[in-house]
Amino acid sequence: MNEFEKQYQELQGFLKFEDFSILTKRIIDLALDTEEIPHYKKTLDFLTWLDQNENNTEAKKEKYQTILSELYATLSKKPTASKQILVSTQNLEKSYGTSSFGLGPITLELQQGEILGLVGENGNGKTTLLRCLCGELYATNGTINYHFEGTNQYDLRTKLVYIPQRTDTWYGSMFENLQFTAASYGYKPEENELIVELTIARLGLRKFRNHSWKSLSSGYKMRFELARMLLRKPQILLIDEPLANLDILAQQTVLEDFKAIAKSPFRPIGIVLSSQQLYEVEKTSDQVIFLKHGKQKNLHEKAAAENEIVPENNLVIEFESDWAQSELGAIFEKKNMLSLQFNGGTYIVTFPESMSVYDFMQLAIEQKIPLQYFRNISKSTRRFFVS
Amino acid sequence: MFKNIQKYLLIHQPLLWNLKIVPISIVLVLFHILFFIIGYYNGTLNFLETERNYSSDNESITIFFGILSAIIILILWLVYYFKNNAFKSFYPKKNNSLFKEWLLILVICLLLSTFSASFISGKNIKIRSYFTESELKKRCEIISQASIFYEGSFQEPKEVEIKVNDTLKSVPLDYFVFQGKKYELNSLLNKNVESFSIFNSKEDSIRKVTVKTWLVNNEKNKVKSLFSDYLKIAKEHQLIANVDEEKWLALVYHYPNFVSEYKVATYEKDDYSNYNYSNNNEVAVAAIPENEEKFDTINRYIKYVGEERIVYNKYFVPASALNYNYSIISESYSNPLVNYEMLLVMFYFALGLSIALFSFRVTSGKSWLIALVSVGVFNIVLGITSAVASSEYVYLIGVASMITFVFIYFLFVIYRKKGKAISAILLNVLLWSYGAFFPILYFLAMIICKSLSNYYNYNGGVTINTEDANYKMYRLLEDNIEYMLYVNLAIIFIMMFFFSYKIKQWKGVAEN
Repeated sequence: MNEFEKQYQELQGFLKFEDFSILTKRIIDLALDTEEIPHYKKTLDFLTWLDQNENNTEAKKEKYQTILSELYATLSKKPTASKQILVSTQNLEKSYGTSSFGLGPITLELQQGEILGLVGENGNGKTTLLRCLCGELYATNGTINYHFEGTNQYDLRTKLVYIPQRTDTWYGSMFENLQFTAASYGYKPEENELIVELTIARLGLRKFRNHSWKSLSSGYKMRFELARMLLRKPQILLIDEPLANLDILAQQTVLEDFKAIAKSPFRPIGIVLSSQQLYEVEKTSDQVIFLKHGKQKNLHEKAAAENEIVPENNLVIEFESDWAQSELGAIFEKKNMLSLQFNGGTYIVTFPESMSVYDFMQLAIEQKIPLQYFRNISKSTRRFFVS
Repeated sequence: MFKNIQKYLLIHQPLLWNLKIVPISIVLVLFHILFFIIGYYNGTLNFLETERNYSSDNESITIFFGILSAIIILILWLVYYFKNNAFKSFYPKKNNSLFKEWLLILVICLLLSTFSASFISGKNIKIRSYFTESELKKRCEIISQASIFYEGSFQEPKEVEIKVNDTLKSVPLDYFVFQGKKYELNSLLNKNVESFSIFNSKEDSIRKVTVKTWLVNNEKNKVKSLFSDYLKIAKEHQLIANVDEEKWLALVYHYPNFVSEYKVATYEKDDYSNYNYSNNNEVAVAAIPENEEKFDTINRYIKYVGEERIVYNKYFVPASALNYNYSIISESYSNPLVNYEMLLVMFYFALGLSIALFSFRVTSGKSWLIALVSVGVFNIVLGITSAVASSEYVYLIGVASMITFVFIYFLFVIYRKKGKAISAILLNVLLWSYGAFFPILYFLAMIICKSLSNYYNYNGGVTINTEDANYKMYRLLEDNIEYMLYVNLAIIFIMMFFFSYKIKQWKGVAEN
């Protein structure tokens, strides 16, 4: 079963459980993957039909099934893309003249279909690394190798789409702006409007197509930026703090969108995003790089050994409790606790490898420790923030 | 319609959509038509007007409004044009795409800068529409020939040198000689003739001799026929003469000497607001009675009304009005205001404007402004330096060196790949100034040749050797400045093609 087949099964599951919202988005993704005008038209007709038949569940299910089948029939014949390396860096370093801050050395590799999360506190080099990767800054030392064609630096940078935290204002109609982008990126005149319609529908922006930039909330501005980004057919998408201005629900939606876009079986791209939202980024990313004072710490195994803070397989639990540190310490010490830190309202307790999360839960139950929440952060970069 | 065209362009030709080329072109063409029509209407001649009473025309007001409307249209267009910038956003661009964009900006700037040309062309075309060139020549010939016979200036007498107390003194002769015969200085044979720009000096001389030969040969009928033609032209323009050809002939045609105390004036009357009007040439018919409010001369009645003095001519033909209006028509053929020089100036202006907009577009507003200030400061410093050094070389060499440095630096930034540094500012300076490089070299060569040819010592007594190679070269360069400007245009276009390609490479260079 190839990647597409797997995703198709997943979509059938959404249909079965009537999860229409995500199903609609994924159908649009598939329609765009076909790169065929008849499918664009059918999908847009379907979306219009959906607007008028919101509550007719049975008819909706039937329609969904029909369009899914049609898309499957086309896409199952289409070869899926093989994953290529997009960019790799070797001991990338960047310093700013007299400033004491220096980024790196950073060694990373990003493939098509992968999401690389950059986490770290403010001022630790996330934006600098993104700017280096998009060609906006030159590395002071080390190398960046792009593994795709670009006749010159300008052409290369057309394929590296960087969305900074503060984006430029768009002027004029949102829809026209997107059509302009699509036309500039070589979409044929006859498919231009269809693709833009599908793209804004994909990002839930149909109602806002004629809004002015100033009347949009920051969350919707980010979505329009993403819509434009999708039309730019990037090889690598680099986004600085995309979640910064989004509410928690929108954060999850946007991350889910990133995942779907990056992992398209037919048009996979690489995404590098920076964020402070550790858990959300960790859930979505294939690799996470934690930056502390510009230095790289990898969460997963792919990075070079010299940069790796190898997880020590200790059990690290973050929790919140009404009990004092001394009370908790007395209990945990009996289980060979390695450390107990109080960190602004939450506790971080570390146990040796021999202790499992189940042992911790059992201990909490036995001792009736009042817990507001707990989280196993043994494999999370959260550890780096508290260590 | 605009909307549909724009919609079509948006998906077919995004650059043309971004430039709003169709709406702006249509607006500009409409403005050109409007200014042409205003000019055409403005070109209507009032044949009653003369040098003395012409109503102030509204040419300068129209040109002012032309400039004002061009500025307003430019600002409105820029507001729309700057809404999108594919280059700034790193959208894919072909290598010649920036050059194409600049050419289109140039076309818009050309249309914006030439409202006054349309106005003047309209005016000129209307003026020319009165007569064809051959008809005009025929009429001007008659008017010019007839001018011998009405009031006007005489040729200056020749001077001879005579010895007075051992010193040579120039004394004017009180006669002149025509075809071997002496005439008094106030003879019609000594009259100047009215000239029109449509004729060259040779044609003027031939005409003068022709009429004077009629007089010498006493060909009265030819003169009468000339008067008749002249008065017919005047009548055609509803202009009044108070003499007919017979009377006119009787007044001025006095064979063989052609001296007459009667004068046919060129207009009916004139008003003067003070008493200081000179009466030197007036011959009173009777003694002027004291405290009389009017008096009579051979040729005029003079009347005083309060502070005003009105001079009525007893005999007149409408020569002032005819000369004035036919001179205008003649100018419209011989020296139209819309000529190659004017168009060249306008083209250079549009070129400068288009480059200023293009440089703003490919760099940024900030670097554009810094460049503007830097260029200003550089010019002030260089200006002061050349003033102190009292040398015309300093400024030219200073600017040429600056352009060379900026050009090399720009290429260096592209090839070294270490970041843009201040190249955005210098790119603006380069684009604004590279067009001056060739003219600067040209003028440098010109002043060097001038200097080597002893030109500066000429007043000090050193003779210029006109066969000297440096002098010849200097004259050649000086005589061909206009051609140099045409060649420079070609250089500007070629270099802009090169720059637009390099600017794309430069844009790819990282910021730091």
